[in-house]
Amino acid sequence: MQTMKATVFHGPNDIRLEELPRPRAGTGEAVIRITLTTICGTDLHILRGEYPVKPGLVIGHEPVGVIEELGEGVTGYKVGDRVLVGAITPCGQCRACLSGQWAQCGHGEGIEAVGGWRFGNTINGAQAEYLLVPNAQANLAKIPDQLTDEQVVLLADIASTGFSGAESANIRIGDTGRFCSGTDWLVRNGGRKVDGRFLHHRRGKRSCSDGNVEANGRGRCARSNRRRCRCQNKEAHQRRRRRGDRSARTSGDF
Amino acid sequence: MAIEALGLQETFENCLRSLRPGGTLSSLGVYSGKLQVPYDAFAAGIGDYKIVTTLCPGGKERMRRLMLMVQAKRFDPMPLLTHSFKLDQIVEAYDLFGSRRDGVLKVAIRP
Repeated sequence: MQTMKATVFHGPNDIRLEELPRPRAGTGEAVIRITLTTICGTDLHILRGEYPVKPGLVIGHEPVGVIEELGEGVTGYKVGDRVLVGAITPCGQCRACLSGQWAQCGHGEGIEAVGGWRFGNTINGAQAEYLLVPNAQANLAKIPDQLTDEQVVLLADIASTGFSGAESANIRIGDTGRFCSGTDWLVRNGGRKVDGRFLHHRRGKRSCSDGNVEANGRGRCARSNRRRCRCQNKEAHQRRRRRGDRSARTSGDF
Repeated sequence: MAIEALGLQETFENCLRSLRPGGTLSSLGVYSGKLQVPYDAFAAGIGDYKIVTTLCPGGKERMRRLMLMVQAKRFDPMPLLTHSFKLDQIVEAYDLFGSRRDGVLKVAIRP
């Protein structure tokens, strides 16, 4: 039997890299050889025992890899194709999927909250050498040759989730946005930590580095009318503080 | 509009308090324990607020569209990958990521 290395959850604060049997693709499934993955804040919740999964489960849900084996009925792909698979794996057939609710898959039944999240939750996940992809026809996304693994790995979860926050809010031109989190993902030049200050939403052109921003439709800070400003205006800070509107200086996972 | 992206009482409430009447709180965070909605932050229910939540849309079409955005240089997720580990070092990677040391944002894991 062929084996693989995989990250196995055994209990709170107990994960181990272990040898497990390599998965085989059944009907409608695929096996990919993982080339790149990452760790999510949700994995930390699992590790700390804050989100329950079964001991013995391989964790991780952000896979980039190469198709190793295709099960019966999976068409349009070949072994060796580079693929990205989303963290959430909708079946593409159930009421939720066909209603456009791509994260609430009921696996052919109805609609199930968190039902679409299977990797590293209800089935073995991506922090391993090989990964079994369910409903492969709906979930294998071929990676264009121009893109590297590194450019796409964060799309599986945090980019899809982050953009979805803006989409779900139905943001329109000229709206004002605030972003409360441990990190700044949606503004341009992502990766800069902002500690939950005010920001332009993603359709704004620039974020104001102090965050005291009213989008004015031209990508400029409404207070300073600069594209990039620091808005170090004590009065404004005090005004905000009086309103009880403190910045969400949080520490958490991202 | 306010986007909540952590899953804490504090971030949720700060978002709620940022809303104009009729505004939307869009929450991505995963919560644990009790989440409370103070009546003053909620304008006692007469603020026409909308609270929506999102998990993470999946599937190959969503991924295709996201990859197109990267390809078209609409956004670049690369700066978020701050550290790199072999799969063999995964326990070490969890330790770093969990402790938020060394400016870590996301870690690349390569088998």
